[in-house]
Amino acid sequence: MSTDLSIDIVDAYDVNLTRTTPTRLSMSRYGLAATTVGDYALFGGGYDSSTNFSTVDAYDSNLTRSTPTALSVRRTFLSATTLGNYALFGGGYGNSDHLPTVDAYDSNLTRSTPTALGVGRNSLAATTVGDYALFGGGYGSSYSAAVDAYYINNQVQVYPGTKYKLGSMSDEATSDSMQMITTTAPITGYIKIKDATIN
Amino acid sequence: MAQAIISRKGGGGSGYATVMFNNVYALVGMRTADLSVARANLAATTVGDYALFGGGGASGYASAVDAYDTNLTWSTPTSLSAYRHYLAATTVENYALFGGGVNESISSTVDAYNTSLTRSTPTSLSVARANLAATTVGGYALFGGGYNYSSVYYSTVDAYNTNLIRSTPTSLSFERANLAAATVGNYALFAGGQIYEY
Repeated sequence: MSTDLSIDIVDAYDVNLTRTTPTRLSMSRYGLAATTVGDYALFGGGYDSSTNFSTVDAYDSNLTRSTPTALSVRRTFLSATTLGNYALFGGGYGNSDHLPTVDAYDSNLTRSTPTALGVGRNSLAATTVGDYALFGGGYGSSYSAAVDAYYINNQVQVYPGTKYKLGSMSDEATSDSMQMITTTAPITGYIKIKDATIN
Repeated sequence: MAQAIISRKGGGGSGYATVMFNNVYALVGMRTADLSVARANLAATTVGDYALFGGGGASGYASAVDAYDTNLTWSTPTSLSAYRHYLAATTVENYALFGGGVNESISSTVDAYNTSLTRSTPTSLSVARANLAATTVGGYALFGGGYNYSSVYYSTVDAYNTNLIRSTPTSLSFERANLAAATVGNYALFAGGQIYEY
């Protein structure tokens, strides 16, 4: 009789490569993905030979574990990377399908769900370069060469006559056409729109 | 624009509607240049100004490496020295490392790419294995766990310093494959995984 065992053990190595074993994952699983945002290492998704998981375990820099809001969809063999203050978990296999879902966790571990991958797929890879988080390859209905790039938008479109204060910029848009204001992210401030429809 | 809030409709002669932004992020996705070869079970990491996707498998095994710079300009540096999938990747200072994997046999190969994408091949992993995980802590790239596709799971950890000198620190507390790794603060974490008991 053979048995497929999933594991909940966590091993930690410090900068001197001394090993300790912090609190285990909340659920035993494999085929999960990991990345780091702010003061948290996140481990999301996975499988235990019968069930796909949406579980996310977070370890802070003291190796204290917490369990933030789960992924929006149960899945395994997903991939993860970090862009600025966002940890992104993309793709995976779940619900008998190759998934395009992307979940984002900010440095407070609040979850949001940005635009999905262009092609649903699992067993992909992810990394970040400059201002872009990249998800590449994987398997969907066929093997994929697709690369999805995510970036943080820091532009706000304003109407002529609009008054705005965005970050440190404060002005009134005076041209005859729409203007694209580039500010710092995250965007904080306001725009005041006169005689226009907000879409 | 997500989370923008209309806080006040103008009145009293002002005629303005005010849209407030409070720490608003908007993550935007788009498709960029494809990989040179369609494949799964590849590995990715970033060195200098380049994101690298290496190895993988489809109908065969891939040795291809695809590079994207900070403008998403795509190029194909020298391929891995051995084609393989189910490998792992991480970056230590000026080197992106791709280690382990499997093709017709289990691989212990480590390929290193510097910030100019020149490839070298440092000392191999101490044990050939696939389905391992990698991350970096302090000055060490760590490759942990793995499987040899012949019923053996590993707890081995190989460490490469910034000069790509290999050492073998204390093993994981339990052998396993298909685990995940990440680093927070002063700790590299290897979590979860799988073994198959016969």
